[in-house]
Amino acid sequence: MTAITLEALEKRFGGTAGSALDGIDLEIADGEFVVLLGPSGCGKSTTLRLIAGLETPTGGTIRFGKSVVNGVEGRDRNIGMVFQNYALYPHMTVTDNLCFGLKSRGVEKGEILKRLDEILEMLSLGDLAKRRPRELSGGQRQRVALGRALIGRPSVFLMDEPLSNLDANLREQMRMEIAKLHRILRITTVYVTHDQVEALTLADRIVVMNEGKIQQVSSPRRLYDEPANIFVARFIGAPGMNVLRIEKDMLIDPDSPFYLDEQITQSIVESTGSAVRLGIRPEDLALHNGGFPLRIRCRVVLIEQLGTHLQVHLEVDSDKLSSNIIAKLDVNCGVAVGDVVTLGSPAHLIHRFDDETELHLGRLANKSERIVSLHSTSGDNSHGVRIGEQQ
Amino acid sequence: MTKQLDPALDHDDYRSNDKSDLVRRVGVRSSLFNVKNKLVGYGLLLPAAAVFILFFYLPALYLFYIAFYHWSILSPFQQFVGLKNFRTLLAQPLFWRSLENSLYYTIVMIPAITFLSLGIAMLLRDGLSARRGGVWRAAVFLPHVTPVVATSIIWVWIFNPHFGLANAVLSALHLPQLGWLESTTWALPAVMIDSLWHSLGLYVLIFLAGLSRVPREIIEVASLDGAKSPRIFRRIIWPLISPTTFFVIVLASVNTWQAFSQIYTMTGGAHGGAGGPAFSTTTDALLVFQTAFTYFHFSLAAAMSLVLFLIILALTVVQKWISDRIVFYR
Ligand SMILES: Nc1ncnc2c1ncn2[C@@H]1O[C@H](COP(=O)(O)OP(=O)(O)OP(=O)(O)O)[C@@H](O)[C@H]1O
Ligand SMILES: [Mg+2]
Repeated sequence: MTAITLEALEKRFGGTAGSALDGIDLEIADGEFVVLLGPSGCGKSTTLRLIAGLETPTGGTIRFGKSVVNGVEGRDRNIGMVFQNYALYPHMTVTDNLCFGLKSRGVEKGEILKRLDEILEMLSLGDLAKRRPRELSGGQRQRVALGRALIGRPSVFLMDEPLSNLDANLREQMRMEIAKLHRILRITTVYVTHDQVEALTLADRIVVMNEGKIQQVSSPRRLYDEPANIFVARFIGAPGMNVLRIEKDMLIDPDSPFYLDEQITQSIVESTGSAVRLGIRPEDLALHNGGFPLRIRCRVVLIEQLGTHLQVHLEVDSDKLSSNIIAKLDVNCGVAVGDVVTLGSPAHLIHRFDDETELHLGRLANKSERIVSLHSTSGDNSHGVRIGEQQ
Repeated sequence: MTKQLDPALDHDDYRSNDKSDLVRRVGVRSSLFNVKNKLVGYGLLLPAAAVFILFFYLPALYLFYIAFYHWSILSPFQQFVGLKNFRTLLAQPLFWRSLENSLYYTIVMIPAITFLSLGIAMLLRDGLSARRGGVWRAAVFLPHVTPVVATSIIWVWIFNPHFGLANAVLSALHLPQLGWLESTTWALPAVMIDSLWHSLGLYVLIFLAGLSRVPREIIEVASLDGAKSPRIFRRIIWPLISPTTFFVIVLASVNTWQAFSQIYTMTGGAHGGAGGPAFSTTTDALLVFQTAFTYFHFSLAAAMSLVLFLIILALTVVQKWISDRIVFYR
């Protein structure tokens, strides 16, 4: 088992301008399950391939434990890797696929057979031992790929979108198998995905990346509760957080679609810069029923029926800015396309971001303040900017 | 809920109507399109097919007829002679000598072609960047598009024993000078070198196509699995490209059994000396040509071609039989 340390890791591919990885610093503890999450092209696979030794970094260091492995060949790093397309040896049977690595390393025969039995048993592949990859289903292939990566008892386990070729049910099932394997084996694991559900359910820690840089490293829970910046806020969640830019001028505009209570108005006035950005998760928005410190008047554009709730796409009702909002509302809320509605949210669910750096500044109130805040504003709209109620 | 009150439902309705209609229309159009497309396809095939039928298939069939007759280009009367032509043929030492030469030529050429072109293809794939790789690929393929006769004449000069490049290179390496095309031992190898140079590009290209179908991840996984390059090649790449290798071997054997132009040109065909010195380069194909067009024994030449055809057929069948057992098709 090994801890992995990445220091100022950089990767530039020849020819093209810009770098795929731009100074990655990351410490992965021994036995930890870390997920790299980010949009397509952000450098997840590149990071993984650098750890695996399949690419050479153009800068920075990679350490396994205490030793720098930059110059160590992939085959000598004791790594198990699983690819999205399984990459099984198509001309070999399941058994030969599993044993190829052990044979390459000259493990003696009795030991190979012992480990083969172990893996076949662990992944319930026993019945398939004699089959070729093309005679297997997608899920079975992926289990063979997992087995092949694990049979060598790697100290580092790398997976690059291992489940994305599977259908939804199978994906869920394999996700649980991977979680189980990790609970049993405790191998340091780096797992690449762009599926948040996988990331949130599997990870000890999630690394959110964008454009070759790490945006945030934290536990799944904190990633959702305290996104480090606007990118993470918008990326995490399905759909991501609504972020509204409110210019200071709007505070005195009688036609403004925003209603902001005294407290918020105050904080905006005090902040530097010409605007603030407020973030609210779609699931934290509710139809206004009085007492919300922030209310937004908007027009319904599209309603998606998702069974458990409605996903409502809205447009802020204003001539001066066009801003889209998504809200998750109750199936029985009775809104229709074209309606103008007022949405609101309690202060402790509203995030503030710096307008320029886009960094998270905290929430408008913490949970205990919420009661105070709701209390002081309920039924009292005389402070702050007034907005006509539309419903 | 009425339709008006449920925009989501309304939306779905509209879409599904539209879609089925679209499918219907596209369906009708595509079947018409198919018929027309097929006609156009056959129409485009026609000129090529006509040329092939007229100049390849009909003469090839006619060959079977000639081989069993005493057939003379000057006489209007052709006599059926059964297997006489074949008997004459088998009694001729030169025929056996030509078979021997062809066999020698083929047995050297097929492995040389296979391994050299595979080696070059591997180098082109791994060792060179995408952009410069294109230049190298072009350089390797270029000889193949030059006219055989023209470049063979250049090779005659290269193999000139007195002032040719080949001997200059040998002497620079402190190796003994060779007689090349003037030597009964080295004439055929000299032709082989020319043929290799000329044909390798095609086989390299075929191997490059085959190699490009081996997924990169499989090779990466194998290397993470602890395999070094020779093992990766032997256990992963070689089996995975076996269909390509088989194709190259079949193509190469057909081409080498039929090799003619370069042998004819290099061994002095223009001066009537083709196949020399002392019949050391008289291959089957060359003998067929000489029998027919130098000595005008058309029926004998036809019988010989037939034997050549049977040999190639047998070879291909054997190769197919072997390939069914060892080639891995996905
Ligand atoms: N071999 C390569 N040559 C040139 N550029 C490359 C190469 N591999 C990756 N890149 C570039 O590096 C960047 C990061 O690529 P990477 O494959 O790491 O993205 P990713 O996060 O894995 O994306 P995805 O989710 O689509 O797999 C991309 O801009 C990509 O174009
Ligand atoms: Mg990737």
